[in-house]
Parts: sequence; C-alpha cells; structure tokens
Amino acid sequence: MQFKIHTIMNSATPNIQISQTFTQVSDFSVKKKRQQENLRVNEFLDGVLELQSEINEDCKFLENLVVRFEEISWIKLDSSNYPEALNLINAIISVTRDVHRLMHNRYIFLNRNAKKHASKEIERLKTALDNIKEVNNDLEDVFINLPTDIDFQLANEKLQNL
Amino acid sequence: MNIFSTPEFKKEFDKLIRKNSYKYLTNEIISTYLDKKTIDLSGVRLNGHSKNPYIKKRLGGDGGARLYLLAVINKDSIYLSFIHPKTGTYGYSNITKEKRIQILADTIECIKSNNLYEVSCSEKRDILIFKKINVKK
Repeated sequence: MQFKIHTIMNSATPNIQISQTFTQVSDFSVKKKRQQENLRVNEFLDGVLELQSEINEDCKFLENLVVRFEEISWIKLDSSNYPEALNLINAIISVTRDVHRLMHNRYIFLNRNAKKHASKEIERLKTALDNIKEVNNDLEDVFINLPTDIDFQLANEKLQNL
Repeated sequence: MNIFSTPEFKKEFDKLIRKNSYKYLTNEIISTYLDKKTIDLSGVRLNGHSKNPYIKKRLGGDGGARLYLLAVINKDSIYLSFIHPKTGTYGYSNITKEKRIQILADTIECIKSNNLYEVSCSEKRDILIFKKINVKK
C-alpha cells in the first residue's frame, strides 16, 4: 500500500510555509481576541448606560413625587372626604418611608460600587432621596402633627384674623 | 401685591448673600415674588386649608434653600419670614416643628406691630432692597 504523505517537507520552501501558517494563525488569534474584547467593552458600556438611565428614571419619579406631595398639602380635608383622605395620606406617608429606606440602601450600594461610572446620577439620586424624605416629613407635619398642636393652632387662628 | 419681610428674615438673608455660593437667592426671590404680576403661591402649605396660607417654598432647585412665608390675602401682602440653605457653610436639612411654630408666631407679632421691611429690588433687578416701615403711633 502506498500513502500519499503530505508534510511540510513537500512544500517548496518549508520556512516560508511555516512562517505563513504562523502568521495566519497568529492574525486569526489576535482578531478573535479583539472581537471578544470589543464585545465585552460594548456590553460593559451598554450596562453603564442602562444603569445611568435606570437611576435617572428613579430620580425623575422621586422628583415628580416631591411636587405632588406639595400639591397634596393644599388639599382641603372636610366632611366630604374625611376621614378617607386622611387615611390615604397616612398610607402615602408610610409607603414613602418604605420606598425611601429601600432606595437609600440602593444609593449606598451604588455609591460604593458604581460611583466611577454614574457619579452624576448617583448624586442626583441622593438629592432626590433627601428631598422626598423632607417633603414626606412635611406632609406628616401638615396633616398629623400641626393640626393637633395647640400652639400652632393658636398662632394660625391669629394669622386668619389679620 | 406687597412684599414685606420680618427683621429675622432680613438678618438671615443679609448673612447668606455675603457668601458667593448663596448669591443666587437674590435672583430666586426676585424672579419668584417681585417680577410677576400674579404670584404663584406654590410649595408646602403648612397650615392646611386656611384662608391665609403659611408656606414653605423650595428655592434654587432641589439642593437650594427653603423659604418660609405668610400670605395675607385681604391685605394683598406676602411676608417673607425665614430662609435657610440646604447645603454649604450655613446649610441644614430642615427645621423643627417648634421652629416653624415660632416663625409663624413671630411673623404675626411683626405684622401686628408693623415691625417689618418693605421689600423691592434695584433697577438692574440684582439687589433686594429692604426699607423699614414707619411705625404709626
């Protein structure tokens, strides 16, 4: 039996053949590596953009909530909506405390782990959280604490009689 | 609409605008209360649905400052009562319920005794002018 043996020895110039093969494999390897790196970097950048966008969405929600809370403070509680409206306001205050706690933990996590990639957004989130906590406490003062405070009611009566 | 301030407000305001970081307050007050024919009384209304509102107003965006004021509708007047920044050297996050009550009571006393300043602004609209009201005896 005869075998047709293909070896590099069959080539006219073995060194060139080796060199060409090496270059081809090497080029292929670098190309693949680059492709993988690009893919990873792009995935990473997409992730950063997505994170920034998510934080901004949360901020927008909280910032709008501050304005809505201010508007709620102007609502008249009377026999037509009392005590249902007051119960609802109480529930809003309570749920907002939970939301603040939850979001504040998120802020701490992001500030520790993602500050390099979303510093502006994380700062905006901190301000939004501070403001929602403040206006929530204000709402509690307006509807729960101040109406039962005798000194405040006396002062307010004087204001109404000016 | 007449704009007045209490001596306490003037004292706080004068202290704050000496710092560059609080100079924006002048412009905020002028654009919110002195530049408009109809004043938008938005903010947190601290005294429920009373005829004359006692308001806490956000100035200068979210970080900015908080302004406390009273509006007496039948006198067509606004009384600037207290101001505090949220950040910076003189900044703090909020005031207590007791302080809010004290501000309200003190402002009413100032109104009753005419211990007030009339507030206007310079022609260039860059300086707040406080003119002491003459007390009628």
